[in-house]
Amino acid sequence: MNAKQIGLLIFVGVCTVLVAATVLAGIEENRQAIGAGTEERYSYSIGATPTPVPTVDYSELPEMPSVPAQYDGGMDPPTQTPDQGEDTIDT
Amino acid sequence: MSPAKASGRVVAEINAPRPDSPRVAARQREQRRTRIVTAVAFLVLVAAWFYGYLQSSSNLLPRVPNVLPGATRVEHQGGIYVGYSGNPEPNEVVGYAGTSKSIGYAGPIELLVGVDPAGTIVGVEVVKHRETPSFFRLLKEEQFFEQLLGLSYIDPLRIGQDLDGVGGATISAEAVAAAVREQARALASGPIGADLPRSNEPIRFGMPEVLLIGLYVAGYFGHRSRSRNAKVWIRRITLIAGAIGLGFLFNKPLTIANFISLISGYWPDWHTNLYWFLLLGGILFVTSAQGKNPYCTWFCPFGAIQEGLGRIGGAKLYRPCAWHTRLQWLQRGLAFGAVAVGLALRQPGAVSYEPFGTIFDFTGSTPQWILLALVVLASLPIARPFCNYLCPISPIVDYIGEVRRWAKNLADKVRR
Repeated sequence: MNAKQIGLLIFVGVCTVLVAATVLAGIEENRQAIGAGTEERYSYSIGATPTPVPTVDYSELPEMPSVPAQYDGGMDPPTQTPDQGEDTIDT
Repeated sequence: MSPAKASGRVVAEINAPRPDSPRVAARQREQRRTRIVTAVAFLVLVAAWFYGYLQSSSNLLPRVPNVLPGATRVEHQGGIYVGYSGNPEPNEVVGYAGTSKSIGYAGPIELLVGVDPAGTIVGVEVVKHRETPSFFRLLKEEQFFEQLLGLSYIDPLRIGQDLDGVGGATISAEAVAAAVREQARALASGPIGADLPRSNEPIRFGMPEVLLIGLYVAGYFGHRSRSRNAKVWIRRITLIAGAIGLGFLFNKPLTIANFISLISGYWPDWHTNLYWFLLLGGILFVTSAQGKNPYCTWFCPFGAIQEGLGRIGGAKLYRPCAWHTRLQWLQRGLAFGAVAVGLALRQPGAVSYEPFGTIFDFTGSTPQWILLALVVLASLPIARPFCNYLCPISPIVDYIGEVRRWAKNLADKVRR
């Protein structure tokens, strides 16, 4: 067997292993893709246990002292509501 | 009979090996072995087909809440799913869901589609898909599914109208859109009770189809041409057109996935995927009628790239006698294994190991990139290394040719 034949056999052997790896990777990727869709937005996923929403019993909270809301002069009061997405144009 | 012809026949008969010579015996042994292996391969493929057919069912009820947000109870009624919510007794309908299937590039994409009582799409989930992994990966990366949310059954739900396409996965994106459109409208005209006008799917006939027909025609005339010069030039032109058009521009080469989809019954809608029918139909027709492979020699895009590289590197066809038959059987074995696994798992796209998408669309898994690099390097000294030692297409086309020979011999025997 000459060097060219050995080279050819190594090429074919390595490529055969890569072909097998490609097929296995493809099958695994397709298996993992099951369940894909719009679940990201709604945070639903197959088999996932929903996180329970914490509940608070307000009757057991200590009563808060009543403090009249007043402006103490430390900060500038808000003068306008945040804009609702209007575009600003730089002139 | 002319004397020249008669004398030619005598010479041929004298030179022909005697029926009891070792050469004839070896050839007959080889033919017998090929027939036995072909028959066994056929039986295994039939078994794989049935295995895949029996494995293709699934229970979808637990998945329905994924596409009907807020549903705490799901009922299966007459082929569709109805989601309910409410406290303490879930009686309020939050939506309807159903499954729909459409054929992508390599196989079906089956989706569970949920709509609210007004017919607005509120969830889509992949139940099953047999698409080529790299194409499907693009759909996820480009967040194609997210575009569908909030659209309604009255919307066009079409790429280029209210949906953005996904470059490199056009057919897959269209298949998803078609499946969602079909199911959203079925749910609207069913439980929601909307009155929908019938819509006819337009036939898509564009540049890829025109180019493919042109290549078939050019290949036919090139094959029939008696002038060697004309043949060489036509072949050069078709190979360059195939590499640029079917390869880099449209990324629509023939793959093993096409054949597995055909056998699995995953036929796409001919209105939107006429190309698929032209490609496979043309190859099957020419191979069955003439016993010739019109694709690999005349316009295979990857073959053209290898030939181009071979011209740069001065490549020569290398078939060492000692290994040729074994390497040929290895190539057939790879093709057979891929078809058998593809049929058994109903995964035509996953077993499509050719690095065509990797070179023409720059998508592929790591093994495919390494494979491509090796083939590109090997193409410099060896003529068409992938075609001659690894490609699954030529063994499949050879197999069709073998079946054709059988059928022809059988017909001849019956006629006698």
